[in-house]
Amino acid sequence: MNASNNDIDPFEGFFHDKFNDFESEVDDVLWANIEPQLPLPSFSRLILWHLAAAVALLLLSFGLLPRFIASPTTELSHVTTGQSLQNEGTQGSKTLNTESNQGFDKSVSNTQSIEINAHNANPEVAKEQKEEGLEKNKKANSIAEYSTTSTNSNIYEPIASSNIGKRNTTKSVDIVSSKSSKRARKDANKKVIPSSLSTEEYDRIVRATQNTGDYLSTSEEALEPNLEILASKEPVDLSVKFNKARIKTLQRKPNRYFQPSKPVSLYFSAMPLVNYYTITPNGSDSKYVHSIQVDDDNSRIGVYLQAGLKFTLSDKLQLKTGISYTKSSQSISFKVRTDSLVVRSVDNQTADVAFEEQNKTYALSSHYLGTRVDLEYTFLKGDALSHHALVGIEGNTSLNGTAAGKINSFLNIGYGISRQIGDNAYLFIEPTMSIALNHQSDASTLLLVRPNKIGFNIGLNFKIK
Amino acid sequence: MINEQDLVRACQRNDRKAQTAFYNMYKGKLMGVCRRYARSKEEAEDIYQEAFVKIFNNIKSLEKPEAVGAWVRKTVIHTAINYYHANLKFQQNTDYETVVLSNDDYPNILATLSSEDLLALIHQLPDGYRMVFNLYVVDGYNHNEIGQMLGISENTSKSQLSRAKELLRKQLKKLGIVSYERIQ
Repeated sequence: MNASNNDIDPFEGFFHDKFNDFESEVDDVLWANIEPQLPLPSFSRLILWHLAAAVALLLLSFGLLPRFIASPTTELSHVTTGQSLQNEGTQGSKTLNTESNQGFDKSVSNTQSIEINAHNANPEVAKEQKEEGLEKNKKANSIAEYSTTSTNSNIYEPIASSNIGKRNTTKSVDIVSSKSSKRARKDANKKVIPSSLSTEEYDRIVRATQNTGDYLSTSEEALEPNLEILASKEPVDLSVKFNKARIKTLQRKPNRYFQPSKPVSLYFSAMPLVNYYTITPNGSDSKYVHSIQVDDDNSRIGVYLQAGLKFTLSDKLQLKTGISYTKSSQSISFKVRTDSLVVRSVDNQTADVAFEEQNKTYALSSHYLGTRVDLEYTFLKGDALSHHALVGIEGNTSLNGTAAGKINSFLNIGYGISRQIGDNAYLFIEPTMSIALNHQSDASTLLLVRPNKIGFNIGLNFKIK
Repeated sequence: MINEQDLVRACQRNDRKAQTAFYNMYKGKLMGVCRRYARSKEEAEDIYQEAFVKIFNNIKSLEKPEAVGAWVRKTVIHTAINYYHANLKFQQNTDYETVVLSNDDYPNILATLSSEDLLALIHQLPDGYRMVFNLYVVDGYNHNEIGQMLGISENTSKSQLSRAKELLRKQLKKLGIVSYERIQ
């Protein structure tokens, strides 16, 4: 700009002073025209990204939903199994031929055994032991609130199972205790010590069966089959019987933490890429910008790195999400027509007049950091190789240059082949095309550039779950 | 009251209220610039709209909010130059002799000439002359800068300025103005 206005002539000074701060009235309609063209507020862009993230989360949820649906079903079946077995146990205790009850309180079984022993041994000692056992039973039941109460109720009165979870322990304990003592007496009356066994031997066997394991020794029903076996005269291998019961116990306790789950993989990949540009003049500049050419040297080559997680949604569908880094360069030359006239003499009589043109170059080397979400569909799965197609979106922002901070979006399309190279490792190659959804040039520049990419993505998947 | 720099920062976040306030702050001045560079009011409005959209789209790149005044003015001038380039082939030189001012009071015309009247004179200049005259005389660019901006040589810029001034002087002389003094 001019260094000073003091050394300009009065004519120029006159106009300068008149127009330097000249203002003109503005029609309000103009703002109404401008306002719709203004960029969206930042939070609106955030909302858009949040929406994209929500969609991704939704897809992820659909992928994991079957797992969460499966879990309660399994638990229900587990509970049902337990209840049915309890019921079986209850019935079995009546018929003296069933499996033991897992949830039965230890004190109850001890009390029962004491009662049995008491009945079959010295009546006076037995009476004391019985009272002591009943006292223990009361204490145990009052401490054990829901589970003990409900379990006891379930054992003796299956119909009362609807009371599970209610804090009516005082009443129910009394009822259960009195019922259990009656029941104990009734059951004990049915017990017959085999003639081949003495009372002491019988007691020893009962104690041995109590010490066999948590499962068998802690329930009333655990004792009864053994007593039945003992009562029968047929030779029965007790260990076989107990082993069977133990196996069943193991089967009845599926551990929910080791249920098969959908695999999750970690992936890394690198992709040498070639930029190809869609270039258009910026707005009204099209009338004097022409001869746009991309310089076909090494500047087209870039690199694309990505890392992230791959979630299995179904047998054929996987969701990939991760971060990406892009390094790309671009160099574009074009001509700008000026309003200067250039007169060239063709011969002695004619002259060629044309507008002067200037050659310009637009060169940029940028680094981008972004995030991407892709859906991968495996359409062919062979013994060695599997083939998949991939489609997704990517958003990134330039880390340098005048467009730093501006969000660019891309549509990614790819086809890939993967092969297992280790227990949990897969190698994949994936020719990918990345289509720019918005231009990257600054609006003040003369050109609008969409830097599309074609690359050959090579990477590794590691199953981490 | 929010100061100009805070307003710029809010505009950089694309805050709509700040954008409206920013627009109201600069609308008169920037329309004045557009009026000087354009041939007509309609053209000025086109340039004005395009310039404001560019300003709001690029305000993020403004690193020094304290220099926003110069920056918006520069943006409008560049938009006007782009508009001039884009419409170059549709432009025609106006016959300068047809200019008629409404003010007939020759002896006191300098005092009574409004900016709008002077603007009417400037509008009648050929497009290239008008651009150079505005850039050099009013906006303070030198011939080298003007040459780069308009895509012409420095000498062309000088000769066009000279001719523009000569045409304006002739017209002012017709109105009885032969000497010029700077307003103190």
